[in-house]
Parts: sequence; C-alpha cells; structure tokens
Amino acid sequence: MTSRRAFLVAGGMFTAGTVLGGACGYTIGVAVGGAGGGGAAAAGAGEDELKTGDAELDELRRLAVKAPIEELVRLGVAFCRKRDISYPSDAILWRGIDRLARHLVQDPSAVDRSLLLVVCATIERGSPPAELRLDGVLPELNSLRKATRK
Amino acid sequence: MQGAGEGLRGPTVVPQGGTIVVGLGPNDTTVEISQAGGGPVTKVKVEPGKQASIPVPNVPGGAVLYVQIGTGARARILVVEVISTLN
Repeated sequence: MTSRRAFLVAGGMFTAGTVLGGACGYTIGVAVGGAGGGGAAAAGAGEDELKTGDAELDELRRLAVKAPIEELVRLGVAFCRKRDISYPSDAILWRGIDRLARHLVQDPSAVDRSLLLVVCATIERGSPPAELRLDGVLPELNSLRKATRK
Repeated sequence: MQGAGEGLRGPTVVPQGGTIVVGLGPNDTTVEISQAGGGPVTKVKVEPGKQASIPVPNVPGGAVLYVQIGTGARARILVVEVISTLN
C-alpha cells in the first residue's frame, strides 16, 4: 500500500470514529439525563439550567448544586427554611438537601445539630423526589439525631 | 444569606405547649415561626431590644421549628426542637 493510500485510509477511519463516537456519546448523555429526572438533571445542571429570572431562586440553586459543601453547610439552615417556605416544589433545590443529608451521614463528627434537625424534618415532611432515594438516608440521620440529643 | 443562629439567644429544645423566649436586638420588630419541612409562617410583632416570649405552635412532639428574628439580610434563625410532654 502506498503511503498516500495508507494516509487516506487512516484519515477516513479517524473521521468515521469521531462521528460515530460523538453520536454515541450524545445518545448516552441524553438517555442518562432523561432517566434521572429532576435530580439527575440538576446534578449535571449547566449555568443556563440554573437560571430562572428569579435572583433568589437562582442563588439557592447555585448553593444546592454548585457551591462547595462547606458553603452549603454554613448556610444550610437558612437554605432549608427558604426552600420550605418559598420554593417547596423546586426539584433542583432538593439536590442541596441530598448533598447536605449525605454529608451529615459521611462525616458525623462534624454534625451541626440544628442542620441535622432541619434536614431530617425536610426529608420527612417535604416529599422528596423518589429518584434521590433520601428515604434510605433517613434512618442514619435519625440515629445521628438520637445520638446527638442533649 | 446569613448562617443560622448568629448573634441569636434562645432555647434549642422546648416542650409542647411551652414558650420560646428569645433575646431581641434593637432593630428587631418581628419574629417568624414555621415548622421545618413546610407549612404556614406565623408572624409575631415584638418590642425591640427586649426579650420576647412566643407560644409554641400546636405541633407534635419531635417537630422542628424555625424561629426567625428580623428580616432580610439581618435575619437570624434559631432552630428549636419540640419535645413531647407525654411519657
């Protein structure tokens, strides 16, 4: 095979691979995003998906999804209260509750009891999205709640 | 948004049917109480610079209450657990 022909074959294979790989990646991404519902969509939420035109909700959504966990923990009680009162049905804000709940379970040594109480109550009374499976975290949170009772 | 309880004095546990006594700052004129997890917000007018005694709403034992003093950027939140009086 001449070097020119080898170059053309290799180039063709590269182009075909790029097109096929991109298409498969797009298809998988759409399928995963669609199957996960609000929670999964929020997990991969881009800047545009967090924007609503309501500055307060946008900031809460940033806290829920993008903010470092330390910032979310620091503002956690206020975040949970605002979610309860003003935006109880916003699916993306539940991502913040999910992050807080799992953080409290993973690092019990640093549990702030006020935050623990409100996260427990929010999950128990707030009807979280089923796909987040927060019911599975609740027993551990309630154990922590009992263990930290004064 | 301010973190919870900064500069706020009050109990963390109250019995059902009891009162929540909170210390107020010189500009605090309202206290808002609501149950964690959702529900209505009750606003109580208070006299600034003193203590306020706020009756515990009719909630079951184990309920968690937000007590917010002040509004806007100056708001502070106290989290209070309501314990059952039945043993």
